[in-house]
Amino acid sequence: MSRALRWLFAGLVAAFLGLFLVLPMTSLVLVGFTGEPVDLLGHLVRADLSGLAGQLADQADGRYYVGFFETRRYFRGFLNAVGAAPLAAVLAWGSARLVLGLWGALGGTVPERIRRGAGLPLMALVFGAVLLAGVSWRLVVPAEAQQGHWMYDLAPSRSWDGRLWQILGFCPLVTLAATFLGGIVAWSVARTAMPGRNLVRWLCILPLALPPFLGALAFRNLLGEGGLLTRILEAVGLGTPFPGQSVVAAGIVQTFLFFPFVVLTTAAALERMDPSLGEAAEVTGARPGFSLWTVHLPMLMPGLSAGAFLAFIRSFGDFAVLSLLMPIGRPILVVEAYRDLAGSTDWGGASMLSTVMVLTILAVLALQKSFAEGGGFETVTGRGAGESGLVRTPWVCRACLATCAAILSVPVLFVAATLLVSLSARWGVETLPTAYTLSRYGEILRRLVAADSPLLNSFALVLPALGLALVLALAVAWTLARSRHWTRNLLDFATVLPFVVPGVAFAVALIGIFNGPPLALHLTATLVLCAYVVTRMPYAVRSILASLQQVGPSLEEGSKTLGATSSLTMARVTIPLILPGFTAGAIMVFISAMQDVAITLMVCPPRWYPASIFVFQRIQEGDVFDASAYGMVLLGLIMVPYALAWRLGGVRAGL
Amino acid sequence: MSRVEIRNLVKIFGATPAVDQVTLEVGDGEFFSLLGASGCGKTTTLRCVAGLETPGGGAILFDGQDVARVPAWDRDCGMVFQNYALFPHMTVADNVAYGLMARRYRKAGFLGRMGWLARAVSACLPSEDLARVREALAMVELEGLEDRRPAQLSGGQQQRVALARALVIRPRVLLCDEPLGALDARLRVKMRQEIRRIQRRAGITTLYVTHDQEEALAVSDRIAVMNQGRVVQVGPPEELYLRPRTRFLADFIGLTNLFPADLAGPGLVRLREGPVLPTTHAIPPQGTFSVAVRPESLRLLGAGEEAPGSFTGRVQLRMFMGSTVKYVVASGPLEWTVAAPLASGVGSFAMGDEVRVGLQPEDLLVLEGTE
Repeated sequence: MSRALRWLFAGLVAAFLGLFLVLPMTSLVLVGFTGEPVDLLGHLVRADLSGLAGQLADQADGRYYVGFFETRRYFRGFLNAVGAAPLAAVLAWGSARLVLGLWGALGGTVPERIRRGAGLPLMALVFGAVLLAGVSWRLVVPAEAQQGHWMYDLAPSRSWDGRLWQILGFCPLVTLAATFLGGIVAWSVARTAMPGRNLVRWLCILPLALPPFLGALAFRNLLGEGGLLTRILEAVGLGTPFPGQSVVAAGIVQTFLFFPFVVLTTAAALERMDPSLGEAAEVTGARPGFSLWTVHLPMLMPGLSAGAFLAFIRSFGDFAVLSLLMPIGRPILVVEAYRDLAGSTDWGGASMLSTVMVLTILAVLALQKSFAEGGGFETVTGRGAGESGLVRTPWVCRACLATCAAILSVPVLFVAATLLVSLSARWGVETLPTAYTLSRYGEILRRLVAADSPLLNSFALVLPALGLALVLALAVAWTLARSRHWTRNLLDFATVLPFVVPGVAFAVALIGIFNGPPLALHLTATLVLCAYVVTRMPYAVRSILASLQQVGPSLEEGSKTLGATSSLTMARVTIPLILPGFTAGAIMVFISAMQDVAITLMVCPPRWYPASIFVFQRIQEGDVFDASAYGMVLLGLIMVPYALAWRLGGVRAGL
Repeated sequence: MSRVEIRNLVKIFGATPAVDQVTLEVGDGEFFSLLGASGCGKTTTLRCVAGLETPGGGAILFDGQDVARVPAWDRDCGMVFQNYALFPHMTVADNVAYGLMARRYRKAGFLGRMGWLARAVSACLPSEDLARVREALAMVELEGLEDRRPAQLSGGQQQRVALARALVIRPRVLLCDEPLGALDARLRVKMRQEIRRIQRRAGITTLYVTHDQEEALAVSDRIAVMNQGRVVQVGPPEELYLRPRTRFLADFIGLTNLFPADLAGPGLVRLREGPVLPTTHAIPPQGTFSVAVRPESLRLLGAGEEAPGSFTGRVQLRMFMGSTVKYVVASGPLEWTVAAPLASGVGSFAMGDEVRVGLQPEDLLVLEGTE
């Protein structure tokens, strides 16, 4: 490709990312101060930066951020999401890091012991202290003084287990549970000779493909009022386990939806791990209990923490499940941000909360990086574990199989219950439906070609977005892999940013920019498409980048020294070799875009509502039967390309 | 310090026996090498002794006690791996102290174990352990590097840390699995001397696996040569080198003049497609066998010199090796390697020269087995 063409293409990519990513994010931060949408685009188009600065100076004040602490539902929503104890631990860690960093920068030396102590031990200490205080304060402070006490806002619940939720935080608990389950499944799949390993790997895709709102629906269909399992339990006389909405319900759904992230990253780490380290520990005298905590878990920390981080981001930013299953009296941050904009058009509040969400995720990202990279985890010489390193003890393999079956039965049962509901014609108070019908599916097929068919809308929005995202991702990944230019780092950051910004926050940002002239794209399909491209492109970039890095420039150089032109090299050498990354990226973009609710709900015009919104609204209205049928079709549409790619190329969901 | 006995050890992977009825005895404080090509079963044997593999048959005894039921962490061995297997997330001091902390953990009760685990994870070593770590690092000449990470060390340093980690626990047996394989040639020579010196001083029974025959010959008290899961010959280095019993061993040990031959008369052998030569060694009355003569035992004869056995040939290749000069001499279809010391005063032969090669009867070895 000629130089000029390359620069033009780079310019287009930069313009696209600037317009649909950088500008909205900047506007988000600014609106958190001004309370009204700032016409950032307009000012830039008119090159009126002084006017912009003037407007900002006039309108900006910190009252929305102050309002964060004054408005009960804001900071309670935040604390419910992240937990007071984890928050305190992370703040302590952050401050310690800052202090030690400054000390080091000023020329002082930090003894290894202090440096180690300022990490995990400090966090554990602070965590324990806040936990203890939060749970026991009601025993210490007299009853009359409790209502107005500042601790009341931290842990207002009457019951001590309710307080426990609030102190520990919803998202950290979900992350812990997902990490635990995911770790077990990953170990079973990667390090034992358990029969059916491949089936388990494949089934782990099911929760990833299941749109979160469908997960909430499926939970209702299985364990909610009138759910399949609930009916069975009532018939046996055990009562209703999950009436209506509850924190536990939301937690269960999120855990079983997001644990595959941990499985994928941890299984990959386990496969790459050098078995001789475990053997060295064993021979040197370490019992299995000792070597687990001193060698195996630390070595797995990069993979495990990467998966846990992904689970946390998803849990923290998940709008669908929390809005459907979280009880009203339990505010949670992401839902409050949505309510502020969609309900009362409180720009300041919505933007401020969105910025808080992004900052929280960035802080957790910093924490995860420090866990993953601070330990010097490059093995001294790499040598992956092969088939020979697998655990073959029969009882272990059987136990693993039983555990994995139990864990995976939950998502499978979710889907099965939803299928049953979608097929039932009449289902009164009996345990099972009394009549079955395929008419709902027939109706969906008939309406498929209608003008406002949700499924058709889904395809019309997602497929072009997929194409554009892949082209952009290839360009970006190529630049990241092969270029040495300084802009590379900006590009890297720009492709990680969409991962960390929750959908609601991004929607708030987009509306802020595109609400009026010069580019009034709010409530147009174009904006939805561009939003899909920008927020889903990172999946493809990561996959293609990984493949490009594996291919390495030496193969291309070798091809050129043999006389091949650039285009021939690209066609015969590069593209075939990066095809796995390309396909994996395409699949992840497709799945993710088909599942999107938060952005679509806030930005999409009603006439263009895709299947995801259609199902979400039906669930909100309580129409579980139609929602279930549509949901099954949606799931099928997502799983089919996955299964195909699996068969064709052994492609696994790259992240 | 222990005696190690391996009796009729069998280990089968899939269909092939990796270790096939191996019987060995290692004396207290002895440096015993297992020598052989890749896949001969030496590493598997070592791993069975360590407890990392479960044998399919046979017994392993430490000081007369069967250790079959003893798990690897209780066998009190120290092992040095080929890739060192240093824990990358720990400092050198923590790596070396690992075995000591593991032992404290093992001996403690439940609460004590929690305490030791916490100390291990937060790298809080008790002072006696720290002293022993320093002592071990001094033994391998790595003082002052306690706080480095393995990734910051060179290959030779990493190898020494691995050795220190194995030695600090004062094991009964030291097991080494090709520990010098990843080092360059010069460092290999230096490190094998170090290992031998340290082993001598500490007096630890050592089982050493290598494929490098020069290394085995240089450092071992006794060597067992293995091939396809079986022990071919056991003995001190000199015996193996000077009196190999089979063609395989001779070939392996580096005897390059190896030819099939049969009986030509009393004290005489006829090499296939080669000359008739005298030998003082016992000749099997029937069948073919192999004969071998070491390159340094052959002499390029000057004009008028005679030797009990001789033949003529032409110099194909002349290689200057430093202290010796190696000639490849073609005589008929056979190629002979002759090593002449530099200062032999024989005179230098050039490529293409006609030469006469002479040897003494006692230097012509008779070996079992042909090609």
